[in-house]
Amino acid sequence: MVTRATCTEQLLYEIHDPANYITPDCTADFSKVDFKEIEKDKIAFSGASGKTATTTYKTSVGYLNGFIGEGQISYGGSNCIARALLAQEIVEKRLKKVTYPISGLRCDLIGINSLFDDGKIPNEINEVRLRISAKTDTKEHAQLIANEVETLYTNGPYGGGGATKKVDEIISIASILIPKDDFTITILYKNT
Amino acid sequence: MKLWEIAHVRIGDKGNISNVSVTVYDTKDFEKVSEKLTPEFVKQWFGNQVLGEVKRYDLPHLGALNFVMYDALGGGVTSSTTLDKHGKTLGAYLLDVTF
Repeated sequence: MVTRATCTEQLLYEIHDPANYITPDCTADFSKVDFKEIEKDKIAFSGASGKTATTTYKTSVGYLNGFIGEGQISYGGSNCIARALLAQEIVEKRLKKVTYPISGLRCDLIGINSLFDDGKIPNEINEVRLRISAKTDTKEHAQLIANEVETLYTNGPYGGGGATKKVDEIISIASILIPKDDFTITILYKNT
Repeated sequence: MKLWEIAHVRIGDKGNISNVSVTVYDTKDFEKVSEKLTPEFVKQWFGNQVLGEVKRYDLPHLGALNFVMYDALGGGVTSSTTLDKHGKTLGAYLLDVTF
């Protein structure tokens, strides 16, 4: 579907200031762009302009930024939210006592019909899945964070099930500007 | 009346910045939407999700507002501990604004 509405969404997608969208070739000005529907799924646009390009290239630099440890466990039936919250409290308290660094601690309660599905969407909350995720410095410490959730099976509120754990390496991205003069661009064409 | 009855949104991300456009279906609703959805209102609407400044760019001829929300994605796609690291679901919450 190509309409004024879909084109407007696409025009503004991730561009921030429409009058100053920095590209490698120019600083584009989309603020006066207008769309006209000329026939079904066919749009004409006008009003795009631009200014001279900046003297820098945006460069995305990836860097190692530690690890994320994540654990999940579900509780179902009556009182499931209270049990999940108690489980969360236990893990939060235990993570406060560890000696390794922890940041970005996130505790989520998720769920509709993943535990006991009787073919109907329940009117009331009948299950909840606790998800705990945090960043730390090493893979081993991330594993320990994930283990804190799994251990709720036997050291937590009644009826926890379906525990999972995960460790992810974090490669973060920093955006920097590099002077264009620092690059020599060569293009090599190959006939195949 | 809810915002979803008179406008549509699209949300994207760049690093730790969330960018949401709000476009009215009928330009007669543009004034009403621009009056209500000030940058301050949008920042307050998202509460702890948006820690930084909110900037708004207006495109009245398209019936669109483009919001740029800084420090809004828990560090961004490559660093966040949330489930929705791109913040793709946040736009739907903005559509719940009442008029």
